[in-house]
Amino acid sequence: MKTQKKAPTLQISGLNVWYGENHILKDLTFDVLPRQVTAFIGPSNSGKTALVRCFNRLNDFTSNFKLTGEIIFNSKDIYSPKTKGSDIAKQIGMVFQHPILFRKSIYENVAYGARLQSIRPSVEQYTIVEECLKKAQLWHEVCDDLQSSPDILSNGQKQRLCVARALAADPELLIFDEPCDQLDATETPKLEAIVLSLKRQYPIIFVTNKRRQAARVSDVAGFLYCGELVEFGQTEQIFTNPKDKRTEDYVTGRLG
Amino acid sequence: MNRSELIIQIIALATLIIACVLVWILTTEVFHVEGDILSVPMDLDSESDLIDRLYRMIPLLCVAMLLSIAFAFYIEEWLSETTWYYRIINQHISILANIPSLIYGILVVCIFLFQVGKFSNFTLVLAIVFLVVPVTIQTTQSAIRGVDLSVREAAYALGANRWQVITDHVFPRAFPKITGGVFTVISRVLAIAVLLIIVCELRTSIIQDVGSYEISSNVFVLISLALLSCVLSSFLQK
Ligand SMILES: Nc1ncnc2c1ncn2[C@@H]1O[C@H](COP(=O)(O)OP(=O)(O)O)[C@@H](O)[C@H]1O
Ligand SMILES: [Mg+2]
Repeated sequence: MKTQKKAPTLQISGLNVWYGENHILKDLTFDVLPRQVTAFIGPSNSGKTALVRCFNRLNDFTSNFKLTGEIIFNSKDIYSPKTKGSDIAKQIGMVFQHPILFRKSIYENVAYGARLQSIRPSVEQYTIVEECLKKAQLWHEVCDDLQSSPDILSNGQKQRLCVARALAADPELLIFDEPCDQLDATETPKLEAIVLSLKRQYPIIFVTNKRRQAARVSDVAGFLYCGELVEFGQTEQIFTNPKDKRTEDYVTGRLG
Repeated sequence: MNRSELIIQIIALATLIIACVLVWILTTEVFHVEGDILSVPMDLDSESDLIDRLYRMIPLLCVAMLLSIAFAFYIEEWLSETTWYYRIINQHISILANIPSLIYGILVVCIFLFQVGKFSNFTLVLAIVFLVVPVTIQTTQSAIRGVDLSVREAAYALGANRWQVITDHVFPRAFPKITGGVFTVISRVLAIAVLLIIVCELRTSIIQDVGSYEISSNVFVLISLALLSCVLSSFLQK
């Protein structure tokens, strides 16, 4: 069987980002391909969050944000004046560092994602909610409490609920920004398993500051250091045979 | 406090003073020309007449509060915090909201009892607007600012537009604090209404006792000082 040529989901070229006077990201160029997990590693404050917030235009709400360069998402220029920010955000799901849920029931939290895609009929919504909770491997834990508030859930369950909510908005790209930062040792593997099970359906960008987690989860990895993309390549190569001295220092734990 | 901040505050204060002078001219000069609908000076010999007029202010009060809430949402959600007009509007609101309601009470007494200017429907409307609008806007603003940024971002990240973020998340979360502000305002208005009624009851006897009473200039000096300190306090608390 011939291997299909994969068109890149995201093509980033010459990306520079400023927050006010601070030059946060310096001349980044790389592609994100479908059917694989692209990880970004790096010490804190290296610009990982700033980078992923460019893709769904969340940075638009940061004051004094400035960007140059090009981000092409499924052959559309994200920052062209004709593109609406909310249309881009609709196509990209994001799971944040802290589980942020709305003051609605567990069911309504997930259904909200579907509703923003103008899916109104309740039968259809129910199907989507069930399917997304199953994909987020949470269905069996919450199927009896769909109408309760998410406050009854543990942190790990909340984070998986956020995954389900992002999936309900039918994204074409999933972004995880240090999703395991607040999770304990029993919850982290569950989330990693979800990421691995989702990568066949969705291109995934996974930000983490845990080296070993990136090695476990990702196919391709980029090392960000002080806003520079020091190295970008196959995860195995980054971790076993880094080209740059700084990458080597970081993956061996001497840096950051 | 940097220089641009100072300039903004001075502009705010200047426009406020000009507005006050205009309002004063309108109430004392223009609108008491006889025959004008707004100006008809009140013939308040009976208390029930006053109460009747106060009741008729209730719809106006509700409209003023609703508009203030809407305006607060507009300036918080649509104007960027760094623009000069946002800062000037904000400065106005904080000066006006800082004025103690007792000052309004004293003004009511001056206008109503000692016939400084004319007590017309227009005066009553103005008093309510000044009493209600700034405080409602300010409490609504702080309620909106109290909504966690992360909640907005979570909604934006799902593809909600600004309008959906406001109606689905910001408004429901800010709602209790907004209602709190509304009740603060209602209590201020009721207090002034009580003052008006008492003054109305006492009017005849006081006027008879004192004859034509000249307000001591000390009163004006003290009121001016009180206003000045509240302006200063709203400047320095920025
Ligand atoms: N809202 C902001 N305004 C100004 N600077 C910011 C803002 N948010 C983050 N930064 C700065 O941007 C840099 C990158 O931050 P971030 O992307 O959050 O790093 P990471 O996610 O890798 O920890 C940091 O130096 C941080 O201080
Ligand atoms: Mg971060």
